[in-house]
Amino acid sequence: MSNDVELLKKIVHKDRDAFETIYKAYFCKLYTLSFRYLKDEAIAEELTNDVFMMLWENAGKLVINQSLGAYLSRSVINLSLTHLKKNQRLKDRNKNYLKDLNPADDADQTDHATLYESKLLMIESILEELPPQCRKIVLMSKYDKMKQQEIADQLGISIKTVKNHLTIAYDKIRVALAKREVYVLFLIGFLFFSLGLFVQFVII
Amino acid sequence: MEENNTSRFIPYDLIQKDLDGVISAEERLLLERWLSEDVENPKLYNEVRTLSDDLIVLEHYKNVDTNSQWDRFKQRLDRAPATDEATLPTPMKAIWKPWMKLVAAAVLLMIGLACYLNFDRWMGYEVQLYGSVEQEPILLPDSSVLVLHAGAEASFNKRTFNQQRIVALKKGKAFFDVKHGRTTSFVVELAHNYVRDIGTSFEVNLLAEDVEVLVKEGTVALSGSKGPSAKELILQKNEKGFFKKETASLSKATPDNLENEHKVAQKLSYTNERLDNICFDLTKRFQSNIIVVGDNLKARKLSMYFDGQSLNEIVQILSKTLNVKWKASKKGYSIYE
Repeated sequence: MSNDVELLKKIVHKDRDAFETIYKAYFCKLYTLSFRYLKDEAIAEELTNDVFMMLWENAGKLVINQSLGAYLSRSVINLSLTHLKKNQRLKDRNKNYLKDLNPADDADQTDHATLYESKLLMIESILEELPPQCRKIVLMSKYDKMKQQEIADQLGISIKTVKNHLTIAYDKIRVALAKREVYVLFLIGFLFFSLGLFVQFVII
Repeated sequence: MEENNTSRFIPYDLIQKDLDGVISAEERLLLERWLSEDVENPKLYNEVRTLSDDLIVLEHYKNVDTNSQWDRFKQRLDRAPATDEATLPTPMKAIWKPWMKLVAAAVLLMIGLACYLNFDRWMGYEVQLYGSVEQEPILLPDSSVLVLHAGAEASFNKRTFNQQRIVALKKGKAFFDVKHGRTTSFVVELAHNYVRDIGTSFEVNLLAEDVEVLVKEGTVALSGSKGPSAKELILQKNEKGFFKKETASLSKATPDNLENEHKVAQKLSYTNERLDNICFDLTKRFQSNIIVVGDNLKARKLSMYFDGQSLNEIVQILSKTLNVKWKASKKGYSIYE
């Protein structure tokens, strides 16, 4: 974060190298975050670049009270939601999904992009651990947009087996993510406990 | 591959078909039945939908080529109008350097102090009074009467006067007839001391930096300095008190002396006359002792003309002219170097 502050100071003075470093560090996760909301590659790319353009042009005027990551995430989320409000087609397409997503609060210190990126990386690692056939079926279903019957035909297996593979994959990912949430909560609790012990030790 | 890890049955295949939009009417019926079976099921449905979305996003995430994105963005950056660095607005935080904050605090403090000190004047509470030839009586808020002689200046605070009866006499001669029956005393503030009324009417005369107080009625306290520990000289009716700033000394003239004191010179003229001779002449005329200390001083010659001055005023004029000191006592006046 302190490195981000230094880079930001350089960006104020139009240092392109510093800007490139920031861009390359944040583009992928910000674009992904925007795409999560919009489900449209081109618009997500454009909005993410708009945020960077804003950073380049107004770096001197910005008042950033949180980390740069949190600030950029907030900008991307708000820009994406504003775009959705204006575009009924996208809004309709994502209406169920968007129920859970709210505009980011100015005081929100969370780096949503990094948080979401870590979730995706975890899903990816779980996928890697799946049996080859199971992983292949998930990839065919999600990435190649193949119907279950088409997968069964292509792999020469019954449709019931395809359904079972999908069930195993989803279950594993769901359980692992749930465990991760518990682990994160436990970690936070442990940190607070350690901090309390440390403070008590210092006082004594 | 018939194993199932879930403790609760989730129809992943139906949810997936629903999300892909390829679900049949029969399958939709089954899905809806499952959704309505338990309040937890819609939550599980949403969980799977989010996971399904995340899997799609993951595909895009893995395919992002940041370097090529940067190359494209660079072109957009080049097209953007160049901003001269010198014209860039300086962030607010850079403007406020620590020393500037100190200066700002000091300025604010000074403004605050000025407001505090001048509050009464700016709010019109401080009343300035100026004496005129007519010597018209001025009625103070407590019904006391003040008469200012021509050229005299005084002021009082009408906001606080009922709590603290203070009149500041800045210059000249003033007569006070104080209204009594109040718990607070009446004080005339002077530059270096004060006159506190104990129940009277009196006259205060500021002569250069010295003070004369003549009690017309009752009792008055003349102080030798300011503050609660100031030494006070009590003056009774017809007594005259003197305060000399140079020595911070207090003295008074008795009623006998005062008779002489009240006498005024009737056109006296001295031309290149020795001081001891002048004082001898004045002693005879006013029937009051005037002692000149020191042979050199006695031998100094001067030309003077007096018309209508009291002896006290004449002694002061002589002292000023010769740049020497003087003092009044029960025995009379002394002039010395």
